[in-house]
Order: sequence, then C-alpha cells, then structure tokens
Amino acid sequence: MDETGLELGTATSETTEVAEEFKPLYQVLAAYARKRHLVPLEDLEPYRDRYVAWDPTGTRGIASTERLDDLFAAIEAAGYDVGLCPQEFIG
Amino acid sequence: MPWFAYQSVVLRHPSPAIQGATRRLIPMIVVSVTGPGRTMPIRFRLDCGADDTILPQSYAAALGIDLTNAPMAVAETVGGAIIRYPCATVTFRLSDGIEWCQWEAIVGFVPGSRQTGLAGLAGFLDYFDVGLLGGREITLTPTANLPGQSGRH
Repeated sequence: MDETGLELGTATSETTEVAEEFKPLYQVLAAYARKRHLVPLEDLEPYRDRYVAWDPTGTRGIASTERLDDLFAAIEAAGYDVGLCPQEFIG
Repeated sequence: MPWFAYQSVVLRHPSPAIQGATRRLIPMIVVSVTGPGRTMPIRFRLDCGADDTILPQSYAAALGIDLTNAPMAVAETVGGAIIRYPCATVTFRLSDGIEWCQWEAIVGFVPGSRQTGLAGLAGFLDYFDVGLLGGREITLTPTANLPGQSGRH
C-alpha cells in the first residue's frame, strides 16, 4: 500500500470462471484484440469520418454510417448481432 | 495480464511532434459495454488525461440507459471549456483471449461531436496497472481495486 492508500500491483478482487453466456462476447473481444491492428490503413480509407462495425471475427467491416445513431440499424440490416460487432469511429 | 496492440491512425495534418508524419499509433482497445438494454463492443482510447470515463451520448439510448434525472458531472476540457454531462452505471468486459475482466463503472455520456470513448481514470484506468510499452503495446493488469471479477479462459 502506498501513501494514497491504494493497493498496487496485487491480485484482483475476485477471480472466477467466465460465465457461459458471455463466452461468445469474450471471443469477439479477443478476435478484435488479435486482428484489428493488422488491418492496413489503406483498407480503412473508404471509412474516413464514418462509424464502422466489424464482423465478430475482427477481420471485415460489415457496416459503416456517418451518424452513430444509424450504425446499429445498419449492423442488424447486414444480418449481425449488434452485441457481437465491435464499433469504432475512423477519423 | 491482458495484452493489446496500439492501433494505427491516419492524421488529417502532418504532426511536427512526430517529424511531420501523417500516421501515428494510439493506445485504443475494444471493451464491451453493457447497459440495461443491450451489450455493445465499443472502441475506447486509453486516456490518463481524462478524469472520467466517457462515451458519446448517442450510446446511452442504444444501451437502454435513461439519462433523465441522471447525476451531472462537470469537467474542464484541455481547451479550458467547462462541460456538463450526465453519468450512469455500466458493466465493462475486456479480454485478450487469454484473460478476462468484468467490472461496473460510472461513465459520463457527452453530447456533441466526440466520436470515440475515452477510458479515463475513474471507472477504468484506476483499476489496472497500465503498461504502455514502447508506444506499441498495452498491458492491463487488474489490481485489488477492480470492483468486479477476472480470470483466465
């Protein structure tokens, strides 16, 4: 413990098994973490100034819109679950 | 510890700070955000200059969060402007495929043109030992302060 009273560098508050219902979501997060940074910037050029949703494997843009409010419907229109498609703004 | 790579972005203007380059690497990760109505994986920029964790306000309705009567935060931007924004509780989840974390946090929902979530101190960075390694890699080691759970897949 340091002068701020915070515990630093110690184990987390609780360690458990991941809940079964969240396994698909964690797979999506892991796929994005492993693959998104490998996408060439040139491939993102068509998405400049747009909100983009990626497929659950983190390898392919499946919807893009100028307004964030429109992105969610565009994801569903493309046949994907909004809850399993990583979203970002390409500036 | 969960590991992530910086993400490359194209700049609108060459930056003198990086010898006129038009690309730079930014510490950004996708985190799943769960509200009362929905879960969505959203990209955040890790920002220890942000006191609070922030999302564009458009996400509030999409997550099923009613900001009517929500507590208001007041903050001063880097440009000196004073902004007010409503706050609400969400659940965050992150994973690199090897380890996972889940916790609840109070985040601010800022109206206007902000396009990217900011993972600030309160609600996010305060719960991790954060490594920004050589401007290319990010490590997030949960500490005892994490108000949630973590584990290995």
